[in-house]
Amino acid sequence: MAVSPVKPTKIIQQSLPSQTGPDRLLLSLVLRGGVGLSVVFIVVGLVAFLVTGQTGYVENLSAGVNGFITFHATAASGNAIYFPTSPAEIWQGVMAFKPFALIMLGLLVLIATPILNLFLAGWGFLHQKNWAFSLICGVVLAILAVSFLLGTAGG
Amino acid sequence: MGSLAGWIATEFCQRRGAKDKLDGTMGTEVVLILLALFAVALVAGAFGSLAGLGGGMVIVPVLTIFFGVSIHYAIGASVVSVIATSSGAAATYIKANLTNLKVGLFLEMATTLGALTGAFVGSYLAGPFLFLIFGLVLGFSSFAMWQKRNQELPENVHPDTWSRQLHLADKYYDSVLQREVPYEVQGTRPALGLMYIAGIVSGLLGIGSGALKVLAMDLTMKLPIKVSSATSNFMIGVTAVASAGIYLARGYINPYLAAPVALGVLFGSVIGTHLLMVLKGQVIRWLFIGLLVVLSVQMLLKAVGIFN
Repeated sequence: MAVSPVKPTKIIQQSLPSQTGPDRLLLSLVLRGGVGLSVVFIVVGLVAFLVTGQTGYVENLSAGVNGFITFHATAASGNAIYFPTSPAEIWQGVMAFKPFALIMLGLLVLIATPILNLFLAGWGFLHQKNWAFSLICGVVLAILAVSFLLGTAGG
Repeated sequence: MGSLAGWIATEFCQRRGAKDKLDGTMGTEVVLILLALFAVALVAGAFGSLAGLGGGMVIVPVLTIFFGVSIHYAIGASVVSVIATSSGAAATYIKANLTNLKVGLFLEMATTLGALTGAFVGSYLAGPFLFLIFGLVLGFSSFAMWQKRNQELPENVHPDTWSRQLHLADKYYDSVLQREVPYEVQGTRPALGLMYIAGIVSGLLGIGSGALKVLAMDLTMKLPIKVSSATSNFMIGVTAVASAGIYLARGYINPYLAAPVALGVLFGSVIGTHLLMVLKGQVIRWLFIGLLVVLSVQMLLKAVGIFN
């Protein structure tokens, strides 16, 4: 399609609520909030890690370049670097201000953000009595729940 | 050698001479590695949010090949990066109404179910066969996209029954065309089928399969390319959450790697979303075609066992 250059176009700045659905501003705000919160935790954890040189879980990180290369090698491929994975353990670590626990909390928040968003979208559709899409959100959440259960069971 | 990280560290050490070895705390080298990871993730995030992909296919090879990271940790970091790209970009796209939430949620049923299937049947399918199929699909798709290369917006869209019943049609404000773009949605059923396959692929290969998602929306549903990108972006986050739970429980989400990657991808996605707003649809389409060609060649090479 050739776009004619002299075509007069009406400039409408704000896009309008055309498709009915959940409150987009709210969803956007929640996403931003979740992402922002996770960035704060990750940055604080990283800074704490770099300043103290401690993960909060490994006792002895030997100093110097050689020490670092060893650390990178183990952290990247081995099992020697310990970090918490269960929410309870992560929380305990955060309370003790352990750097890697703070990072893990940030990552948990990041993972939880889309789930929260799905709940809010579903809630919005319910509120508008849009049963078809309330059901669709419910189905997606249910499938996610199943995969989480299978993941922990199979792990 | 094999490891970029190790190389940077030793190089740095030699330059400075052995005399001022660091003691007490982790040194400049760590910061360098973290910065390198951050930079890679920044690029992956910018490109990912622009094209509607997770950036996993950038993150995984770079981490394994250049940083000497084991594949499980690399995929764990990539899963986190997919969620970060998605959430970082979706905040902007949803607000600007570029994301078609209804289309995204509708298709997400098929994708998540596919991911679940993929996790189950993965072991029964031969890897090379799968790569071959995937490579061919991407190859043909890049051709189909190339045929539409001069098309800024879709034409001749005929909404089907489900599309009408679920009110999937929508409009968005295109800041390049400087007008509102209303669009219809067609092909809901074939799109569901394709999304199911996309889900299986992401369950099997640990990738976000954003490329397949954009394709399904572009070729079967005939959405405007910007809407396809933005909606795929919203979807990959949800699909990735399913695998994130599994990877987290198994200890594959390593904070040392995931932290700089997540931060880099988040900042990159902010850059990418702004680019999408100001670029023409055709430019995005070209970027995407280039990417598809690279991906399909990579997959075909994997299928014949040349490239891992």
